[in-house]
Amino acid sequence: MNIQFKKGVLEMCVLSLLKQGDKYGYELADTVGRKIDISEGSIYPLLKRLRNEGYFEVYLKESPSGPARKYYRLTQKGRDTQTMLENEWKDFSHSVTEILGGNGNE
Amino acid sequence: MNKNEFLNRLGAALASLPEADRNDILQDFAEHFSAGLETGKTEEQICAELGSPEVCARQYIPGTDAGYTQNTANTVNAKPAQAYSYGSAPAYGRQTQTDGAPFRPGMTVQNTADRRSKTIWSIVFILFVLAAFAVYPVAAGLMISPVAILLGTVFAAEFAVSTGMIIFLISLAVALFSAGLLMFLIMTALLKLSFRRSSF
Repeated sequence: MNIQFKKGVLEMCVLSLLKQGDKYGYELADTVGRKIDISEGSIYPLLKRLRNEGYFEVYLKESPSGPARKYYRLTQKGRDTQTMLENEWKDFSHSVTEILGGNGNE
Repeated sequence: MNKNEFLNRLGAALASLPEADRNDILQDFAEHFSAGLETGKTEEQICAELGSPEVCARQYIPGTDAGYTQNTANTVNAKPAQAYSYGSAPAYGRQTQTDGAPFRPGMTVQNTADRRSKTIWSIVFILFVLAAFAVYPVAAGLMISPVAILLGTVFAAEFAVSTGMIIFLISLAVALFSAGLLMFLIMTALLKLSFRRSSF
């Protein structure tokens, strides 16, 4: 799959997963990695960058087994961006689907 | 590859970052390993899913981003992209544009519309400035007239008051003078009368 494609979509996926609730790094990497063919290691640089840009904040929470885990929580900015990206994506994929289906001239 | 080897190679590839950042990143990956091991995966499995540690590292280092690569060996040397650098990443909105992110279908249309509305606005502005030249004298006249009326009233009032004062003072002086004259005449008349009486 085209790398440029994934770049933009991966951000949207991470933001969308976090909209459903706070998650820790492994959960995010694992969930995305199951669905999309990327190296899961790419999630962490993305998380760090999005955090630096203020899309979410982190906090540590004890896990039932093992050491504390770093959880990610969306900020308002992250929430707004997720909504915007999701709407753009829906519009875009709708248009592409129409074109692929040969219904572009409707 | 096992956990230690992965973390060592990642740490080595991150050598150019400040130690605090490097430790933070290594901590993230160590946490990933422990969480993965808890679900029953082996260290080797987790390493395979993570991909190359050098590729991961490159995405943290400004200017040498390898992008989000596929989980195959031949993408290790993927060409560097600039947009997704760690630390010096540009603002979000600009990034999605310069990236050539696929989901911006309305972009060119929007730009033309922007340019058109800019032209329209500049024409409106010029018309407004030209119209203002015609409007200025009228506006200036309208603004000046109340001031002129106010000044006129003030001057008129003052003139009236000062004239009144002068007339009052003059008449006072006349009255005093005539009163004095009258007194003088009365006095001389009385004196004359008494003289005439004593002589008789």
